[in-house]
Amino acid sequence: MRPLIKYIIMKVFFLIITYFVALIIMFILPRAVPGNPVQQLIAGLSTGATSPELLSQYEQALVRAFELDKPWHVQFLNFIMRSFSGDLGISASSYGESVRALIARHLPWTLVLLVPANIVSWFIGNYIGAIAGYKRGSAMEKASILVGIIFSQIPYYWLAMTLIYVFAISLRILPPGSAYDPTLKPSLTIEFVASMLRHYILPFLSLLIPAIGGWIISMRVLASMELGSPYIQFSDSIGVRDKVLFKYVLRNSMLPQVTGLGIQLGFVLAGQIITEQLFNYPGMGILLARALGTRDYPLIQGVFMILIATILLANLIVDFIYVLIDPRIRLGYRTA
Amino acid sequence: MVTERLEVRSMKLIELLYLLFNNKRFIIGFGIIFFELILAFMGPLLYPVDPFDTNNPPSLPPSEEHPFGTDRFGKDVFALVVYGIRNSLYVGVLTGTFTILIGLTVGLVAGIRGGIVDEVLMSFTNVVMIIPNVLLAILILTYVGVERSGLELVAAVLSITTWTGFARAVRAQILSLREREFIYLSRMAGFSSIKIAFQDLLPHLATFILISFVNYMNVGINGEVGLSILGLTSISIVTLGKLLYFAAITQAFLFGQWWTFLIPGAILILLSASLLLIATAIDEVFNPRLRRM
Repeated sequence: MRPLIKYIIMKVFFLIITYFVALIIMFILPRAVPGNPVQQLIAGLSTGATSPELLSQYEQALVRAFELDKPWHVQFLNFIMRSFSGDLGISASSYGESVRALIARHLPWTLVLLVPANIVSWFIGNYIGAIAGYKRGSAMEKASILVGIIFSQIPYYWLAMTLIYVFAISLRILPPGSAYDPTLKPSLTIEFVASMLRHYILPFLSLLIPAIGGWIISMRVLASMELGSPYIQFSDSIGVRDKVLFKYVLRNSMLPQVTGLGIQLGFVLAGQIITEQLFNYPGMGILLARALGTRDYPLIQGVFMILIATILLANLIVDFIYVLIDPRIRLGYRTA
Repeated sequence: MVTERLEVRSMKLIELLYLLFNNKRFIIGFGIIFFELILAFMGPLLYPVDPFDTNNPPSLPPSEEHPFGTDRFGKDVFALVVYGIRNSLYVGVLTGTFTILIGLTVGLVAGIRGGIVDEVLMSFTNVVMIIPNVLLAILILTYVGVERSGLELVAAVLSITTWTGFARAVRAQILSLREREFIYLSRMAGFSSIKIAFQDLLPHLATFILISFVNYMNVGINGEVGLSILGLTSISIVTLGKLLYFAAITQAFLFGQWWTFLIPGAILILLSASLLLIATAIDEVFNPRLRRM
């Protein structure tokens, strides 16, 4: 197992380097484009009756507070140092609220929406895809190819608009947006949870349906390919039952799908900007859109620091899942 | 000698087309694309209505005079769709081309050169892969100025982040091709790396490149729609995405104006589904292992 340990160390080493390079890029990019958070704030104030001297004093104070007068590498090092102690800074566009509090407020909504949507679509899509691939040439396969191709090409935002139009406007059975009834306060009462679930259905469906299509298509091909392999033909010829054969096919063709799910879950933290905007859903997507729109450096940095970390972590975990569930890869490391 | 070779080539092309048009999926996909192309290029001749004319009554449902109705600004939706298809296809073709060019260059160089060049290029690819594409798009497009950015820039912005998967796939294929005998023979004959790349390796990747091109066209068309909905493309250029954007900002779905988003959306789905069908069909025809299934 020693090569495996060496492999892990190498992997983690490269991971950390990639993380820092990506962080630096994410740090410089917003600063490279014109406009900064202080300008945005001052532009918002200058329409009022504030005197010009007061305004410029205020601007200088803000520039100092956000450290914009220092060279960027000093800013970067300060940011890294502070973030290690859990301080991600103050958001420039949120009236002095801390980045950590903002993320803590938006993140649960995004997780509640995206994680179940990703996982449920994965199970449904792969199950249908695997049966379709296994029962090659059947009417069931043809139907699921059609469903897969159409579902996978439905843009989720278009589906969101259509769902709102059909269920909220025409039929009036579900609310058109937001995460819960604004007259209620978030709590664990039955009333609130019921309201939340009613608001949950449409955004959930708008993400679920297109994702199912994608999984059906890829899983069908994988299952068909696995069906052609010699061990299945051999098992079939010695009379192994259909149910058992299906299980073999399912297990052995699942690998790329597991990877795909892992990588998707890594991106979950970014939220779904468009879905959240259409449904007025208070998730990470809306937060990120606002951060980018107002050049809120601390908020952009804070969100990306966490986002990039989860993406990389998901990739790492996927690599290990590969090794765990596929013995062939494990053997490869031993001989390497 | 040269003419003989050309003859063989053209024979092959006809044979390939014959194979493709024997494939049911290809025919369906090609049919849809062909129909939309006719709509895009013949539409302005058959239906001479200015898509920017705002003098029509606003928010009219489909009628004989306006087959797809009018939007909130009084523009004719059918005329907008006709223009939109053309521009969307243009973005798709450009994105496909840019993505293939960048990905192929990086993948080929990394795969053929190997060693330190390979390491550096692949690390670079991995870093680009992590950077969220929406962020990069927002920064670049706001830097240039949304109203000043044409469809070419939109396609370039989309390609900057999508080439990574293709580059990795090309590199992987090159790595396995590199060890084949015919490459050794070419090397022994003293051919340069560039000659080997173009004469020995590229032909082996031709189908893969073609399929990827169709798929990245799809990515481009849908990516443009995403950027449009976020309000990151110029409002003076009509694309299918821009139509959905107008529907989103005027909240047409809340006012029951279904024709302004259902129709462009349906056309968009048809367009991308047909591209997917074509890509799968090419794969089936050229990949005998899939054809058997």
